[in-house]
Amino acid sequence: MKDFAKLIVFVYGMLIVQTVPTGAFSQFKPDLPLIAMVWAGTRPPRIAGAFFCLIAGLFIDSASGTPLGLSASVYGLVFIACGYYNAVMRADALSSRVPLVFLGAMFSGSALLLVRHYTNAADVSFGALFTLFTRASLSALCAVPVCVILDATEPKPIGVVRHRF
Amino acid sequence: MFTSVKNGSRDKAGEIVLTILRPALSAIHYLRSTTSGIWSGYVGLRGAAAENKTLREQVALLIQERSAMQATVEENRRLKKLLDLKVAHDFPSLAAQVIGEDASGWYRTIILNRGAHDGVVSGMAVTDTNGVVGRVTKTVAGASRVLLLTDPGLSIDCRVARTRDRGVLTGSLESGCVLSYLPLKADVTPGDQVVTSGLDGIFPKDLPVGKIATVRKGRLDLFLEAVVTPSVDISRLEEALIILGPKGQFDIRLGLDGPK
Repeated sequence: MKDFAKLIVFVYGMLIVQTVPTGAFSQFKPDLPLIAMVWAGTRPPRIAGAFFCLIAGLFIDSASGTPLGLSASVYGLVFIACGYYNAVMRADALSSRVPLVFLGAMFSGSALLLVRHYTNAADVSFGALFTLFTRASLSALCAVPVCVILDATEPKPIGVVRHRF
Repeated sequence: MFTSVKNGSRDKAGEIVLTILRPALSAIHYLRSTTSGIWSGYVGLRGAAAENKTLREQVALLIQERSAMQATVEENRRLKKLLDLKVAHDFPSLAAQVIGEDASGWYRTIILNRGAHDGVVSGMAVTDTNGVVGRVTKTVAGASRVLLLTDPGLSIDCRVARTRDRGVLTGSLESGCVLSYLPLKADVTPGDQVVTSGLDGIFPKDLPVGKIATVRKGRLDLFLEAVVTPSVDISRLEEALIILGPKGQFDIRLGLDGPK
């Protein structure tokens, strides 16, 4: 239950950060919910992460022009991919999460761009691809402090010495 | 599961999210406006006080400037109240503040602090003193979401003010907008003003939209298309006017613009 409450607080906080006006930088905002999604996808419990994924996606869709359910679907796929990768490769370290955030941001951005292309005839131009790459890079950069902060909220296991490296 | 942004449908999830977001976004908007004044007024002066005598003279000047700025802020507040009551247009409108922007970054939308309680409904036109801003796509009790004219999902029927040639203006994921379906014979040149035609029944006639930057031939060489720089600087937009006339209530006959 604590996990659910914590993730709900994260969703609300990140939604506030994502919707605060940033003027000319609005299209280069990092995808903070995606960072939390990758973090949740590479740690137990999975059920809380899946719940977070659905809620965060729906919240993002409601606070933007995205069709309702699109972000939730994309985040869900990223969450499942992260969970699989973690099960196979043990990807719960920061060095693994940062590239996952980059790839996840590229995937989610591409999905949104394609939806825009086929629903609004928006051109997939060089500028749009540049925005896609820049946002993914910024998201990966922001993943470093955000994942460290999120890791700090985790309870430390009793009697186990945690090695940072 | 998927619903379109353009139809302005009232989904409950969206209403709940916008409702719970509004107080926090309003608080952040207030904090930003107050802390920027504190930074320049208090922290700046405190740092200057620690400097030498020359800088102290500059601090005295800063104090004078600050009091002048405070007077300007008060004047601005009064003008905003006046705007609330009556604007320069012939049709009723409502002043609103921008409290948020699109969460995903891939759509060009903003969130205003006026909603259904203020009489705002989906489909209303949103303008600025400089021109067209966009169209309301969703409303909740105290907030509404506006699709900007720079978004590819919004199309506006426009005319070139000088030649009166008609075209359809749509947003672009690049900066600016594109005015399509101009006749090949149209004498359109860079710098020409683009205004609303009023024929779509959403935007009143002759509202400024932007200026033509470049003109080129469209696909298949059947029409001309022009890249338009919007009159409104969306990135610096802080206040907007919502025109309180729903779709179809503007009479397009000459001299009869305004709600029926």
